[in-house]
Amino acid sequence: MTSASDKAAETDEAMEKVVDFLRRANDATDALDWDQDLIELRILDSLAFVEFLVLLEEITGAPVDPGTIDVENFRTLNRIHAMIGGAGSDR
Amino acid sequence: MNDAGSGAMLARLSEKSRHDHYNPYTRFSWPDTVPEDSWWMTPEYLTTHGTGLVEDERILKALARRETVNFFSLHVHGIRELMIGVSQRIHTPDFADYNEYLHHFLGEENAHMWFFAEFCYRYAGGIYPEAYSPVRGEGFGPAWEDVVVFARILIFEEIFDYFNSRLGKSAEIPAILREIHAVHHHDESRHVAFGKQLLKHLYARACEQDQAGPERRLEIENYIKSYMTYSVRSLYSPHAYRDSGMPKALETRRAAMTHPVREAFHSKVMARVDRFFVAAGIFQTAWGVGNDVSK
Repeated sequence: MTSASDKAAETDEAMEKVVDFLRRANDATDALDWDQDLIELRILDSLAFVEFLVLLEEITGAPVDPGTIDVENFRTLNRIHAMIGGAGSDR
Repeated sequence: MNDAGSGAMLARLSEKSRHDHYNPYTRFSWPDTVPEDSWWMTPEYLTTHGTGLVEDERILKALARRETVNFFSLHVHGIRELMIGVSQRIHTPDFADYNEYLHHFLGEENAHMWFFAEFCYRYAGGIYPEAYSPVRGEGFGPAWEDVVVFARILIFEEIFDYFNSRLGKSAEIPAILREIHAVHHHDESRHVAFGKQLLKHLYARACEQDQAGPERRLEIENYIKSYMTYSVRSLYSPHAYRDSGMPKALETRRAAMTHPVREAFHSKVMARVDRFFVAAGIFQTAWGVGNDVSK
């Protein structure tokens, strides 16, 4: 059984992959507040988003259907963190 | 809107289209089956080639089948975008000089879309869905939108032609596949020549109309380069990797996509269109310099 601390560590590791992906897409990622809007700031644009969804699928192991996902869940790092980890603590 | 030189080119391309016209629905002799133990794609054109990540020939042959489906599906979806773009513009004042050739262009693209889809439905259970982004598009304004649409079309045509021209001559793949690649390559040489001419014209027109100046041009350059990266990634289909039955499909896909051998190959595939963008003044620097598809 996975303990809460294991789960938190897994989420942190997953978020490192997410941040690394965004960093490669845009240098400004490191200076981001985790509540800033990734789409509005064009850190994630329509082209990068397709690959970003594949990354999330890779991380979570669950298929992501781009046709049914809610973009609102991907707008900030905190929301992505919450989505990946269930109940994530804010940064 | 075009000068005498491009007028002559359009007349020549239209004449060639009339001369080379064929009925796509009777052009091919479709076999009952395409053997699964054959290579549907020459191994050197598989996206894992040169990485050493997959050695099992059974899986590589399955990947060849699924990458063929992906490749043809990308054609189908790319052609849809192209046909929408051209249909929206044909017989409008800005494209008046292109009307005659655009009719041939649409007719030929319609034929291509049919035979690529037909192969997938006949032998492989259908096409893969389009990679869809839930995030809204670019919004560069009408004049730049023309540039962006036709730049995207040119990029996908050039990528596909790289493979079509080679696989159309490959003795290793089944005859029906070789023929599809060869027929497409034959038609696309005209379309690429036309696309380059049109894009240069549209770019000059957008620069003239636009008040934003060099910043906007840089923004367009960056967008087109991102689209080139996106196009390279689209060759590494998550569906194809999974459906090939390989273990850790998505991890292997990412490792292949970012492998140094593959990065060199991406530059090779893109070299011709990259050179065009630089020579046309649309790029200040080539995409191939420091391209990184993991970005």
